[in-house]
Amino acid sequence: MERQIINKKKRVFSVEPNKIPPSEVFTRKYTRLLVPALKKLNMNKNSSQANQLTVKHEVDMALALSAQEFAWSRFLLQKLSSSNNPTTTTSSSSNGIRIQKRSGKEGGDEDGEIEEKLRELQKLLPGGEEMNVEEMLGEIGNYIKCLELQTIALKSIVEDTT
Amino acid sequence: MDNELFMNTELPPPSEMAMHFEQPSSSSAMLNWALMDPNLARNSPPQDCFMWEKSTEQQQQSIFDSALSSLVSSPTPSNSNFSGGGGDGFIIRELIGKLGNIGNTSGDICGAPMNGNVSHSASCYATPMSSPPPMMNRTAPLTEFSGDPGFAERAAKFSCFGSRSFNGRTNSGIPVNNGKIVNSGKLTRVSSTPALKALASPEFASASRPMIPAGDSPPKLPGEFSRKRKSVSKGKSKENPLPAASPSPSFSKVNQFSHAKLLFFFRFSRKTAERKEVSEEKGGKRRREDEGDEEEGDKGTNDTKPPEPPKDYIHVRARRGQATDSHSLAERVRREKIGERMKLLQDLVPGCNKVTGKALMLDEIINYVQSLQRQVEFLSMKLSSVNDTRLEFNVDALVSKDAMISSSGSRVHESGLRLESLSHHNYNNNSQLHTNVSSNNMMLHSPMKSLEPSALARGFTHLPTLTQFTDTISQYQMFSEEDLQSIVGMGVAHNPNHESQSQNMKIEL
Repeated sequence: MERQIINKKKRVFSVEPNKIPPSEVFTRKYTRLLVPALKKLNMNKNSSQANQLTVKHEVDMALALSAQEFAWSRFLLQKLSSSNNPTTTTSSSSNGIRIQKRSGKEGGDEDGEIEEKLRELQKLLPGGEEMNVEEMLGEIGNYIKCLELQTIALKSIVEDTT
Repeated sequence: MDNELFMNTELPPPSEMAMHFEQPSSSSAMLNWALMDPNLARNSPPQDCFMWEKSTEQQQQSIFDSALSSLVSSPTPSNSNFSGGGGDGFIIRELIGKLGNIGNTSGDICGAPMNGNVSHSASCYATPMSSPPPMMNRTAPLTEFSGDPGFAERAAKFSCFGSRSFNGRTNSGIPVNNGKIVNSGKLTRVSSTPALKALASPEFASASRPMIPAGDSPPKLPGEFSRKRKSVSKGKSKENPLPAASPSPSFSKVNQFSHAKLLFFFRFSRKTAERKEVSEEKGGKRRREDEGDEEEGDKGTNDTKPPEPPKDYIHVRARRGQATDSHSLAERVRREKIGERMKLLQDLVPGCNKVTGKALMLDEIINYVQSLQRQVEFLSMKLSSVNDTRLEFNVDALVSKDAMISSSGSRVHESGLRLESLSHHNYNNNSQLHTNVSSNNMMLHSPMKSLEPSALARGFTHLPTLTQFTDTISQYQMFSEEDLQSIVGMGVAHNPNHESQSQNMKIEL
């Protein structure tokens, strides 16, 4: 009886076998994509010249492929495929100056400031400019999450190999 | 409106009812009525409306509950119990009779919960009933009420209110607290339908708000709301979550034929309207968006207007003193949506909680995204440099480790990876994605055991978690050892006798 209960409990536990937390799903996909790609990269290329770019490219590609349920991943893929130069997320780092209070931007127009910032945020998100603001805000949420997971994955990969 | 009919009547609680509650005039009437008819039909809600409208006190709810309980306990409704004043008592009796008619079979006390929540829903329902329902014997069907001009409206409202969530309710809903006066403030039976509460609260909210003028009480008749073709469900009862959500359950038994329509509409309109209205607690003007700039003060129109079929609109209520043209309204809705999303983002971005205001929060978010992107870039550069030299990637271990890290909720900005958390889950997670800690632990041990005897360098493939190795074993030997050790976090695998040159035995305990 008890065993049945226990078994039942266990069974119940696994009754929802597919309830994988999305973060896990993402990380798994990501690592599974990226690591072989990196290996292949490593094997194919011996020079490290273009490596950085290519690695970044792979990194972004893995990100985009792992998060295909989101709108921004589509845009990211487009960017990646269109230009072989990884102009993806890294390019935004050039704008990656901390948002200073832009005086004179919109004066005292609070809404204007907010809109400015929203636009800035849109630039950060791949494809953000093509979305409207509300949609973009939603996408930013999961983009942030995926970025975080990506960082974790990259860190662990790097740590594992060093 | 009609509510006054009952509201103003003072009905002393029936003597047999051991109701110990203060008795606001309206509430007492309600109580009596509720008490008398334990089997009040759901149809009673329309009548209840009357009572509720006037009784806005919270105590009513408790009173109501107690009344309800007593009502339940006394299954035999007896109008004679009312000891109220002549006219009042009559009214009460009538109500009871009606209730009895309707809710004969249902054990729920529609009226009872309403009492408590009268304040909330009163406004909603009060208006439809223009006149006290004629006295009916208990067997009278609900349809009899339809004679009332507003009854249909109200009935619909009630039914809508209750039908959706109440449909599931059965007669068993009413808790039989024989002789027990439940002052829990909640009808236990109600609790089974949390949806009702959601339903009820918005509706109650509007009703209960004392500031809502009587004219406004018919709340949220379709005419009042501006209609936008958006999901109405957005209008959850954010605004005044009425504690009196419980009363709604009573409606479950309400007849649904006429109610459904009204209620449905009501619910929608209420929800959406309430949502917008909440912030505006100023007795905001109901505004019909599609009607242009009028109706600022068009509050009373809804009272007698038949409820329109529920539409998939977002009913926006213009704020007091603000423009009411459709553009500004639309913009307002848009802004609110953006505000909602920003709130969600706030939870996602660390450190945003302390910041208030859209601009600052946006700043934070932007900075955070940029920092994340920079981090990714940096890591990828590092990876590229590392990639050149080392190739031993333990995919599975990595994956599981990452999965564990991510699932354990470690944040990116936390320094280092907490592999300890992985140790419990790692092995298990690889094979199944359930975080069954106990099984994890067990699985953890077995691989370890197999790990030890084998030379570690070669035994990895035995491990269930490493079944997906596709590369040469030698490649994995070194790496996987490290990985396993680091992942497992147990010093067991810490065996230097493997021929791998793993420099960093990352055993993180």
